[in-house]
Amino acid sequence: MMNPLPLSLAMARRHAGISAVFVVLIALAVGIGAAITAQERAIRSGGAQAADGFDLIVAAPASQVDLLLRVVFLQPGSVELIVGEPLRALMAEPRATFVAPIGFGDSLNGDPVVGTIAALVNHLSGGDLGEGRVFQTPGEAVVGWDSPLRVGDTFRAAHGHGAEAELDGTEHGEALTVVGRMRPTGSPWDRAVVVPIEFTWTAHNLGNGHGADWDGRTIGPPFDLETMPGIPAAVVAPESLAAAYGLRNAYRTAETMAFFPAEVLVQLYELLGDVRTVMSVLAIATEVLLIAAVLAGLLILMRLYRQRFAVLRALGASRLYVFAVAWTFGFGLIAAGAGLGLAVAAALSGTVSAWLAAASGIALSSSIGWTEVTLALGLAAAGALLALLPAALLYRRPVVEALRGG
Amino acid sequence: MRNSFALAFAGLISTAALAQEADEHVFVAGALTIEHPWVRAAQAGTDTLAFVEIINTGPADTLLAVATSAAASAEIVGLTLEGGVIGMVVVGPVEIPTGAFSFDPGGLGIALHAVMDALVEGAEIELTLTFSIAGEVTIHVVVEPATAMEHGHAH
Repeated sequence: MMNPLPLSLAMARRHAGISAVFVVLIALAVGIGAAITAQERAIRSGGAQAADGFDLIVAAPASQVDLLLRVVFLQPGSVELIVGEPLRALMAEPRATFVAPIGFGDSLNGDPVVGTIAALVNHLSGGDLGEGRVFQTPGEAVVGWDSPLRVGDTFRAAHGHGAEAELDGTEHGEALTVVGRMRPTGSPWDRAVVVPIEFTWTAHNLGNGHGADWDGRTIGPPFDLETMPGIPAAVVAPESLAAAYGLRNAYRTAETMAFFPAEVLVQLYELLGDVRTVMSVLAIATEVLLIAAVLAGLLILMRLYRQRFAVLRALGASRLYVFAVAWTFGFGLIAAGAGLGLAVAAALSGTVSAWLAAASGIALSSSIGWTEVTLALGLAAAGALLALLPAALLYRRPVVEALRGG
Repeated sequence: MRNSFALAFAGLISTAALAQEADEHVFVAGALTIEHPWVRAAQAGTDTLAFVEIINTGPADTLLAVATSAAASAEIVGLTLEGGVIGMVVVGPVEIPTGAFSFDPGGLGIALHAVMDALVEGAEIELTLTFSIAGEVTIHVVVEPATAMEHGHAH
């Protein structure tokens, strides 16, 4: 049998406009469907990457989601403080490698200024800093990987966040000098300015955490548990896996709550999964409708061609050849659309990821994986079957009747 | 006089009824009281997770092992986030401190691997917990929906 490809290609060229429209429509439908699943996967892994390092969060009882947004994703908002005996017990916790108090409330050009201790900075940065060293006095600061500040820069933090900071216009007295830069964490901490918690406390007139006879230079634990201010949250690094679960249980009381970022993410992801399912069903429904429309288009096209095919048959072409030409043409359009759809999905989810990453500070890397390839292959397979229909129609038509134009 | 007797009697009956109802989901072993055991519904052959709350009025005890005839195997696991991947790890024996201790979906759980028969919502399975001090205790675990985050009944 003769190769049906040249004639199929000739048909596509003859109807280049309509063929291109078919391919582009299919590519868009596949692209949107595949981008949804790719994007959801990117958000899942980006969120988990960002939360890595925040082993256990202890705070006053509140919404865990709010606390996660506040501590890991550095979103502004208000939270209750842990005070009194629970705070003293937490700060003296023997089962933790470190208990890092977190202090919020300041910003610099829209980026958050966070107070904490050197141990957390090293921990989040993966053991050591990317550049310089960690702070050693209250006047020193460490910046996140993506911060526009450079080591050696001097700045003054502004009270509050965003519009509040601009309206307030209050700058804290002491200037800070950047002495180090953290390695990338994939979280909004990459944009943050991290300062000793003592700076945050003294700047807000909350005391210094070390009692009346503080030398004004020494920072970090041990704090003076009698006079240290209440804290909105602490990141606790348990000394072992068993200690992690023990501490989580021990600080789930009336005065404190303790949670792993992973447990909140699991719940958020379940919600995300539900949304994805709904959107995926809509995307698949769109694809099915589109295929039906393309199929209808192909049937009309084949009707236009039936006389030419009849001529081919009269000239001696086999029925099978006519069938093969028609099928190759139909399948070719759908397969090309599905393949192009993956490129559309990659471009689309790449753009959305970049936009989301810029808006949230969470590093997102979307990629086209097996799920999306399977989707495209499934569509191409469906196309292979559906393309049989117009082909079969031509195949069955008697030559003489078709020649007469009947 | 008669009235107060009647009241006392009514009170006794309701207390007894409450105690009996509570007994179905409360298990005592030494200083330990095990409450609200539940397990997520699962298809036959799949894995699932069971959760309990333990009140310890004595010194710290240790949950050494878990066993059930409802699944091929059972072990103590915990939720982890390692290298940006959320998953469960086997944690081995767990210290049960004085006070309340929870096995819940955000922390520790009891993994049942390859359940024998489908666990259908509302059904019950038996689970045997072995503690170092309190010894062995067999509890009845209620099957909750597969997506449940906590025990459904109010106690």
